[in-house]
Amino acid sequence: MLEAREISVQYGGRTVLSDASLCLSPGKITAIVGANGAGKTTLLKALNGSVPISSGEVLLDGTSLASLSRGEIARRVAVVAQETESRFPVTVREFVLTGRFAYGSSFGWEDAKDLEAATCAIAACELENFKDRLMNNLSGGERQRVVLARALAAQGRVLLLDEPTANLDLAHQTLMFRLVVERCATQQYASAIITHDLNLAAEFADEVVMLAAGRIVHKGAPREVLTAANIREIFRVEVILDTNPSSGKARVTQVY
Amino acid sequence: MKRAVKIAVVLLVVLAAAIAAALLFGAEWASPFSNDAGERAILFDIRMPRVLLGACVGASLAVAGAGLQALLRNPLAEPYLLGVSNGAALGTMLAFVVFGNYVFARPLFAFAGAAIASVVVYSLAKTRAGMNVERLVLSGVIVTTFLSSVIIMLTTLLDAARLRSFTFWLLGDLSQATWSGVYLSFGAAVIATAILASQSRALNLMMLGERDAVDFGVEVGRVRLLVFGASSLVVGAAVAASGSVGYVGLIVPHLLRLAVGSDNRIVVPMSAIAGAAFVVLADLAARVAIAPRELPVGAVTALLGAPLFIYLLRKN
Repeated sequence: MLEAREISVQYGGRTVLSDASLCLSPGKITAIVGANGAGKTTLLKALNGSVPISSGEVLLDGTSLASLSRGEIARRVAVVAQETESRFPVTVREFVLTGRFAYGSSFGWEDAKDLEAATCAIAACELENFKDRLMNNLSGGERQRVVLARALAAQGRVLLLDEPTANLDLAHQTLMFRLVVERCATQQYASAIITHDLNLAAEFADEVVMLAAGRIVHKGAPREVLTAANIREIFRVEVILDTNPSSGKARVTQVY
Repeated sequence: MKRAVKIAVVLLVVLAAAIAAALLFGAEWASPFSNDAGERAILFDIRMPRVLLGACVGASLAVAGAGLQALLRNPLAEPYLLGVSNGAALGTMLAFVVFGNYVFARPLFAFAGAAIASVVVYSLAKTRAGMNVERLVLSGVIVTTFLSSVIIMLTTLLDAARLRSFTFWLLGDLSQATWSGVYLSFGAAVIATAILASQSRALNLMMLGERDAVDFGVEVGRVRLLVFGASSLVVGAAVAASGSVGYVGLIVPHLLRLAVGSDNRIVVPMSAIAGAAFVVLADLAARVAIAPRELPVGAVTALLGAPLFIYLLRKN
């Protein structure tokens, strides 16, 4: 569905991502993990063509991203970026509706389909009671859910999420991941999620990609990648690995 | 859409009332039904072009402010404060010095000056990490003061009589209104409002952040070019005709957002109508406040705008 082939990205002559290859397949969740500054956000930006790549190519359904317009990419790839704060008073509903931009003309007003997509996304993210509130009056976690709702309203079949659970409480972290899992399972979405929570990665991801200094150093099933040795190598911390008794997935416990 | 139409109707009624009041009132009352030649001359030859030019200039500056604010994600972005108006003023003066009375050179040079000032301010304010309020305001201050110095140097080339009228013009003055200025400003205001309104849905995303805009399908480079181009066009035409009327682009979009929210599909086109009404009323105040003497309209708009600027800066 979305495939990166040996892509590199440079900022002002400095290489921040080198020869990264990755394939996001329908129905699968890929977790991207790594220390701060490892190049995770750059990789995600390269996957939807929002930063120029210096070599390699990204293919969306077999077509190079370079040959697609921003609108064509946006209709197929939806993004949950790290939340930003706007200085303008925008309501939750207005914010979610901006996710429908690629479906209309630049001046046009949303049609019934746009409104329905936004209403469904707002409901899925449990935001009905917030829809007329201003974004600036919401908590960080509430805003993060609105950002997810906008991506869901965009209905791209590829979902790219940049630390979507950073501001969320435990219940909403689970809600966020469950929404993504459900979209992947029932509608064959492909998704990539940057997360610092290795347990969430182990629990929900089908594949884990580990980045260090702009390179993909480990890639594979969660149990293969999330080993004590790999985690020590990347994060320089000691962990105990065992099995979560309720799900049977890998469980990472840091040793302080 | 229905809401936009309702708001437009209300604002058009306000604009019509403002224009009627500005035509009838002044140092002297002028009746539209009078047969007196002097009174008719005041109404149709003096006030009419002045009031209509005021409406066009107000529409131009307000719509440019609304567009620039959304593009730069900053409610303080305004043609006057960013130095765009001063760029246009310098262009106008250069045209005057180089081409003398060839009046059509002035708006062309004003447009070029506004466009260059826009690009310089944007380049100074933009960093890889984005653009913060302080940096944008400071860049505007730097460009404005630099251009002001050059303008002052150029004024030394003028004789005493011209110096007075140029000083008034620099402060924003509608008393020199001509019909050719009205036609030109009207044309520029219509074209720029159409361009900016056509980008208003994209501006709704740009307003939230450039990354958001790119991710959700906006061709950011194209939108940026159109908004800078349209705002330079309209500010160039307005400044060539009436000098630097400040703060209109700050006050009008801000009040509109308070009243109707931030949707640029409403804020951008309605700024044109509300801006027109605002400058017409401000100029009426400038004419009657110390009648029979007159204030430059720019002094009235600055008196209202500067406190709002301070309030917004503190709030941000």
